[in-house]
Amino acid sequence: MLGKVLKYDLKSMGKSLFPLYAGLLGLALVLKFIGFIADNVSAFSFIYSIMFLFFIILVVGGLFYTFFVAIMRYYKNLYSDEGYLTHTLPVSAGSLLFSKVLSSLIYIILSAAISFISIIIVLGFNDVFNVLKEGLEFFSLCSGMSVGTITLLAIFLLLLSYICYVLMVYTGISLGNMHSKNKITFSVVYTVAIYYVTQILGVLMLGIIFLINPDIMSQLDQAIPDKKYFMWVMGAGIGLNIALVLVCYFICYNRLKHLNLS
Amino acid sequence: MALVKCDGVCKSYGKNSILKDINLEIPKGKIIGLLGPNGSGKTTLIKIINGLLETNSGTVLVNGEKIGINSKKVISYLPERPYVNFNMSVKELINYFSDFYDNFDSDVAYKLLEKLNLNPNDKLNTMSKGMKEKVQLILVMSRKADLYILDEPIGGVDPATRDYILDTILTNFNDGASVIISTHLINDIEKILDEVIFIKDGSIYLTGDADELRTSRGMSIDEIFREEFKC
Repeated sequence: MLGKVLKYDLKSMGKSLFPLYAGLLGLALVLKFIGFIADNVSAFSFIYSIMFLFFIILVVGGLFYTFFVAIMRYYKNLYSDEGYLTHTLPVSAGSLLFSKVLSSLIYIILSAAISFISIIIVLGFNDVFNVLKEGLEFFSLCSGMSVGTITLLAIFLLLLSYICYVLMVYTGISLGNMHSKNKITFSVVYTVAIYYVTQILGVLMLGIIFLINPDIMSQLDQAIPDKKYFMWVMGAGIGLNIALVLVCYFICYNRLKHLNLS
Repeated sequence: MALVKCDGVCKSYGKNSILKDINLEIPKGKIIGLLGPNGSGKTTLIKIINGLLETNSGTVLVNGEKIGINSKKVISYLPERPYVNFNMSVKELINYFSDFYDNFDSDVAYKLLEKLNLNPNDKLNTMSKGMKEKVQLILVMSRKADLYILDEPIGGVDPATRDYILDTILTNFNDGASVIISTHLINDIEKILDEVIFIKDGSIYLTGDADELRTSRGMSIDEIFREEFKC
């Protein structure tokens, strides 16, 4: 049944996101065309600048919109009136939750890929590649890992952080719906509370790392920090994110298993 | 074995007790009226049988099994509120039901839609409230289920639509299946009921065979209801 649930989650989210992808790619092509004209006709430079600004807003906004669509799908499909149908389907709570997480992951990858392609269309492959290469080489120096390994690690970290934020909001919604009134308000309150708890945990964890490695402070003004400390901080960050993902996933699953749809 | 067996079911929200020690058996092959005034606990009981609410205590068994995937396979449920995605077309909804329910018969659904002169490609958000309710009823009644649970199916619709809804229920429910109809509009459904369950303040107040009750009391079920629940 997981495949069927996933199919409808992807379809539903796609209805909101595919127009964005078409708009983003379309704008990138128009911008590229205006860029050619602006090289020869100075009057077009102003139009290009305005459109470029709008393009950047659309790229950044598109990623936030993808996050918003994932959250709305979770809320509407599981906790609004539509939940009356979803929860009477012969499908396990585990499949419902896993499908929501997986579909949000698939669409953020797709949104990032479409954003990346549209940026390449506008700025050209070499310029984008060089900027990325410089950044990755810096992190490669810090960690002592190859550029390939650090690229994979960066993608993994970005996706892990994204899923962590998605699950934090899912958890807030799940806990908010335990209340019989003001569910949306409670959902927001729980989400904000979870966010601040994770921030406090992050600071505490950094404090512990600093206590274990007192000489880490001397690394703060180094252009390239010592590999050992870089790995400590990165490892701790990954560990905290994985722990948060597991805790939030368990809470969401538990709330679906002990449903009280009122 | 009873189709549904409720044993000591209690449900409360905080200090507010909604269901108090419900003991009930729903037999196979009957049309049962779950009758009670607003706020008596009808919808809460229905939601528990459908796995949308957890009990505080007591057990509910469907075909001898606890509420879960297997019970959802055999119960076809129409809630009292709109519960499908209105951005979907009727055809998409039929595919959706067909994908998830092995006992959903698309042909029956399309035949019923044809009688209403409804275009399957129309989205629900372009339809009137009454038409949306009819589409939802068609989806529910197109399943070959063991138990149909219809929560207030005739509430808030005009008399002509009520007739259509009752006719659709009567002519489409699976042979040998039971139907639970929850309503406070008893007069409209009285003639189709085999059994009645009166629920009052979260407790079962009266149960029995509809004909026997009418004979023993010398009045219609509607009149019994009005007398028992007089304000």
